[in-house]
Amino acid sequence: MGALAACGDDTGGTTTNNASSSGSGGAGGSGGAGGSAGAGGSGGMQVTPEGSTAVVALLETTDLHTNILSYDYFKLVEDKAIGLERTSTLVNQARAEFPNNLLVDNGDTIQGTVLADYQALVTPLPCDQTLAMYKAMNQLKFDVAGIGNHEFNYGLAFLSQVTHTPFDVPDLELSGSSACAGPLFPQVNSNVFSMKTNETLFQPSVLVTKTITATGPDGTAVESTLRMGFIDFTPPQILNWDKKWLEGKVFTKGVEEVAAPLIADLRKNGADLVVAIIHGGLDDTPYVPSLENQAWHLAHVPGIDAMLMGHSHQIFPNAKSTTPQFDLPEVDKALGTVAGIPAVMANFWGQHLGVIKLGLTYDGTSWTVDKTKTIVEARPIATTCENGLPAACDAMEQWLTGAPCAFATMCNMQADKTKVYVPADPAIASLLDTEHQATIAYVKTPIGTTDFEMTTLFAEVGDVGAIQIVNQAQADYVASYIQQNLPQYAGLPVLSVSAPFKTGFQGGTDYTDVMAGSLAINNAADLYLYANTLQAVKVTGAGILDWLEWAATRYAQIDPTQTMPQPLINPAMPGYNFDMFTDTRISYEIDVTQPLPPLGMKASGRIKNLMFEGAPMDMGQEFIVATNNYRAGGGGNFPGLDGSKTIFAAPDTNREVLIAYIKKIQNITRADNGSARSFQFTKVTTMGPVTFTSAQNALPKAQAAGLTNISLLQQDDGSGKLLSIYAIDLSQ
Amino acid sequence: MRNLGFRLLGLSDPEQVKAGMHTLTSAAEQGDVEAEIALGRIYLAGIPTVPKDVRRARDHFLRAEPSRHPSAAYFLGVMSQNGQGVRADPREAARWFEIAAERGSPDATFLLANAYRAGAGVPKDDKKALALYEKAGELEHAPALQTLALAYLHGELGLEPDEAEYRRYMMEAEHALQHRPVPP
Repeated sequence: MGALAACGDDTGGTTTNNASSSGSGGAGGSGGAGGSAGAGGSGGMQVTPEGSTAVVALLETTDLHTNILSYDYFKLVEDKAIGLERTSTLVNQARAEFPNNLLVDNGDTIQGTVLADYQALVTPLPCDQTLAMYKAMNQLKFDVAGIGNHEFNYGLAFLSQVTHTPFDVPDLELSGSSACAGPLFPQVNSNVFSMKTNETLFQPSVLVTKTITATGPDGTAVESTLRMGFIDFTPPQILNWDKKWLEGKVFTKGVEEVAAPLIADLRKNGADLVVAIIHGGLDDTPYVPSLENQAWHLAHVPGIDAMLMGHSHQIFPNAKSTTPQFDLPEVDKALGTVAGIPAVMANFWGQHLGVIKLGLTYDGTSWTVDKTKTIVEARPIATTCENGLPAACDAMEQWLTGAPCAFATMCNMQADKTKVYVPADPAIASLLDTEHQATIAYVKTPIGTTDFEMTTLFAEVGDVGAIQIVNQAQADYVASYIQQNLPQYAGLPVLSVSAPFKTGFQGGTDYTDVMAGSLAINNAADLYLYANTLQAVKVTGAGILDWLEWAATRYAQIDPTQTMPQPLINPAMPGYNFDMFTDTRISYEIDVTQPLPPLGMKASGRIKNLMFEGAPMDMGQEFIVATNNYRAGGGGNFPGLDGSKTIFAAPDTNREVLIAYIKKIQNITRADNGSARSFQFTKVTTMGPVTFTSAQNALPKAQAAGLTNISLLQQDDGSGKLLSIYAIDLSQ
Repeated sequence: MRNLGFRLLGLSDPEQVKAGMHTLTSAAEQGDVEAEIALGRIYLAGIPTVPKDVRRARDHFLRAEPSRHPSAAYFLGVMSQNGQGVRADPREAARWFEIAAERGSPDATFLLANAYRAGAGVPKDDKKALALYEKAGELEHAPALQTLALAYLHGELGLEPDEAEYRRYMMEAEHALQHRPVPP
């Protein structure tokens, strides 16, 4: 394959000159008054009359994280709330609204979904193919793209290949990358430097030249040339976050060291306007080069005409935002300016398109921004209906710029709170069908088997079938880690707790339910629903007792003398907080006749006969308990769990840990992985039924799990949510 | 000097660890707040050759506190909440969390939200709890974002159940997890 089409191919009226910081080449000089400012190659273009005006739109995507299609690869379902294929529709509409436009991406683009992992790790992309994400962006004809921090997650070699940029860094031979396939648009980053050459890895600035249609002072159409310079910044924290890839190879600088000279160079090379792309948010604390979010300081560097922000996943402008960074001095979160400069931040995963409509005036020498004719808005791909109108648009169903908004008429006759979505651009899905199907096939690839149906249908009355495997995976991982890295804890027992995440709140289908047979990645995602990372805490037996007491508030107080039916479950305590051991070394009883704690008080009195290895658990003994970041950090308000007990915070998610464990043990059985029930209810004879709801027609599953004290009380609970009422006999 | 201390503490030789503690202590005595707080953390949790000593831990955090470092107040709050080195006192804990939250500690903001939600040491106030979870969430505190997500899913904290908001907050929690937070 010969030298591929260079970044910044000529497409219509655009030429892109890749100006470097050494200021080589570029457009012809900005001529004097009336001079034909030579853009090179556009010979014969008329002189732009002084006083001409134009409208140019900067369109921003940021933090797309490989959400190209509106799809959830873990759940294997469509998700219309996200996806570049819908942002693309907004782009198309904006380009129709603003014939003069530039589409810019602000990084964190190539990592984030299973599709990204599939192309980077599972079936690594060959050099001669373009990443799915870049294919979509090529299709969309992006004008320029900045580099974020997640670009570095797969390492420098991968990044070099997929961006066909031959980094010259210590200990890596990447010169072959220039022959690889990739983006057709230039990529820019001004602040990550090679330790070998002291040059930036990417072009530190890019000058995009566009032919625009302007309006002369006499009202007639005028063709003109606009030169827009771009610089880009990524957070210096990449050196921590991706230390393993970057240590000894690159270094970073901050905006105040780097921006001004680049801006000066761009102006010298004919830039009318300079746009700062920054993968960061706003922070006005005193500047240091290693500040994570430098956009506020960048906005104060003279010579910047517009700023595109990202990284902190917010929507700016947004008058209703309560985000502290948008209330900083000189930040106008309603108008979308920072230090007077128009600025936008377009959320994440394609949920918004940032639009900066720039009113421009030609002053005889160059185009300049007319702030009185500049409008900033962040346009969503989805909104809700209120009083028959889309909430994202104004009362005339228009964007702030006056164009019909994307949701116009979608809310006619719709109930309040109906969600409406921009339609997907069909060109994107058809382009990526192969990659999309391959990712789905990967997610569906069996990683193990189970000889029993694993459900949370009766998890709260004794079926551990969907919980135990999670505990086993967590404990296995932590035990292994401690052995290798934390020898000081090697003598402590490693335990684990987990909770049933789905316990029927939304009805009979709102339970984890994995059929017997093959297990694939999407089943693991059903077994571990939340985005948590694994953490291990060190607690005493007394701490464990408190932990179980609080979890036991999931049950209401049962009055044995009551003859009317009593619900077993206390709805004030959610099922996802019912942490359970599923460990043959541990047993305990929960006495539901005991009261719940008064408001604000610790729970106590319900856990009886807490045993460890056949003896009462020693309240002073230390244990390691595997759990997740949410619980360990204070989620659910468990006593003593407040972030201070964590001895180890894994980089891996609990889901990844579970997947790895299933791959390791391959064949899951009820005997080995689904029947280690640690808790029982303290036996009590009640005068009336003690009830709970679960899915309809599920009794056989309780029986298969060995629960002999469950019976069906009422086929339909009357809620319309496909639930039955069951009874549990607490005397058995 | 503080960095030398940290390096020594990471070694397995108890003599080196002792030397590391000496180095950190000197640094702290010379006004290095990070060193003071590090000593507090070490005594609070205990490490292989330095036994847990909650009274010493508390002393270190109290000494660091006037510098207005958010971690000092956070740990003092945690210790008051758990009755470590001091009588368990939810009111005192909430007071410390409030101070640390004002200084921008996401963890303290989250724990203060929990306190308002539980009515522990402060009057129960779901609205206030919600606002504090939002504040911690904006500082990318993943458990706070997950708490909000679950609250929207189940209609907790006085919120209307809203599945779209649940998914949005879960997305944010997932993303926040990718930015390894600095522990307090």
